[in-house]
Amino acid sequence: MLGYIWQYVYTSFLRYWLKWLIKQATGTCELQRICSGYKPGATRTTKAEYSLRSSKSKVLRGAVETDKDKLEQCVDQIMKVKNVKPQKDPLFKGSLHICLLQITGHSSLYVSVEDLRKEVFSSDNQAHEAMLLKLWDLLMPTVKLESRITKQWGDIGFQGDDPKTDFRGMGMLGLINLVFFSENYTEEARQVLSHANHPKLGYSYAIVGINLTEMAYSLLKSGALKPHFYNTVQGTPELQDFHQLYCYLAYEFDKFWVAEEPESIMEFNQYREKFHNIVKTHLQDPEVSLTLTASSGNN
Amino acid sequence: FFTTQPENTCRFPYERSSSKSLSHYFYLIHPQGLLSILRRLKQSPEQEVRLLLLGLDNSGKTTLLKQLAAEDISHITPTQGFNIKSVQSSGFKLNVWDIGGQRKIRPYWRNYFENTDVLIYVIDSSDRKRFEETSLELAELLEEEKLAGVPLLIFANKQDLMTASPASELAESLNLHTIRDRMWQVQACSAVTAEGVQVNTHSLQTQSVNTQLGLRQGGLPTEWY
Repeated sequence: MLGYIWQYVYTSFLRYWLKWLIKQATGTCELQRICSGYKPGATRTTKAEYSLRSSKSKVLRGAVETDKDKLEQCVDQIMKVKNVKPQKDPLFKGSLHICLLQITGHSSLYVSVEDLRKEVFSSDNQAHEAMLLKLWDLLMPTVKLESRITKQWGDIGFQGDDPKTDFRGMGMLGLINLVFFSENYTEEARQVLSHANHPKLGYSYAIVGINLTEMAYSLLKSGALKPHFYNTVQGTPELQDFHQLYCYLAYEFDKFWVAEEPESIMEFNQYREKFHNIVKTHLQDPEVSLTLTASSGNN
Repeated sequence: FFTTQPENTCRFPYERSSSKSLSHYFYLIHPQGLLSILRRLKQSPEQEVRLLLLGLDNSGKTTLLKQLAAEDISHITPTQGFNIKSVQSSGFKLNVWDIGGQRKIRPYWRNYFENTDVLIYVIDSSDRKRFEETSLELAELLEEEKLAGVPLLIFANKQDLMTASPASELAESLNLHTIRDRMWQVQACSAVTAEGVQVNTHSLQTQSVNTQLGLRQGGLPTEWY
């Protein structure tokens, strides 16, 4: 209770008085201190985001929702409002611009990801069909698919004869992630597939992949991935950065699963939750960077 | 979600007008299963009911589970393993087990049979090509000793789709009338729109309450056969 009162008093009054006092003493505003005091990355951008969102100035609050191509103007406006002289702090403009690209980029990334998720896989769509067949060729280069509807799909971990019903709530996002991993980390993907096809320790490669897409998606939606993207992308995060994160999850989950040696696939959700918690713990670290680093000589 | 109309569980807005009424396909069976629920309910003060959701992959089990738990159904992915949720409702604790339906994990179904109060078998009514497969799986389940006498609730799911078969047609093509060793019921529903789902759970609960209060003597609940 006391904590709540303190927080209320602090955010409503004390914070502003303190900021004002420090500004009088040092001649720099809070954003300047953040940009010069922290190296580029999650800590700087997170603090800048908080500062902007809780600002009294409309210009500053509006900045986090500005379109990408209007951001430069927006930075100029902020400097005007905050009376920051470029001659005195030459690095500020660039730093704040990058922070804003990251903050607004995260929101637009979510919109793009959501669009892909809502796109339902359709057999009438040639691009969708082509992508599905491409997934097969990337994972099973030596085996020919006998027909479009076949039990063979089970070999790469779909549930039945036709994968189209397996994408469900993840739509095309699930398929695109699977293809991205197989295309950009072909060796790793095939290695993961071979683990998944283990007679005892195995799991359904594609289904688990779609499940991990859901994990990536909900982490993004909740904002938990912000520190990761702020650290790894010095600008606007793009769709491929999201796909990269999926690759990390797919590869790391497999490693985790193999190491844990679960009794059977029926334990999946329990281990998924355990893995989910590990990922969330990583994301608490301001230095977090969830990038796939394949251990060599393992293939 | 138990507060919807309890009556008329067999009627459903999506039910196609068929020349024969749905009840034509129902056959009166021994009320053994319900009695077993009764016994268990009387023993446990917290009135726990174990519901087991089975059916082929993509029949809608997880959507149904989430719908029962009043959770978001827009991000569902295929089930690896199983999901379980406990739903508290007017003195009842429904423990709902949703087991993945893909062929590869069907052999594990048997691990979840024990102590099941009601078996809920879910069918994608629009997937005619797999009626035979789902019929075979159901037949196998009914042979299982551990499920002997367990009341069976069949959800003719996905009635929101234009291509869905009416529950009566489904009952006919699956030869449900041959089931004579337990109480059973077929229910047209759409897990996505929640139509037919809530009503049914309600009837389930009403049954249990009625039975518990000894109202069974007044005649078998009309929905169960």
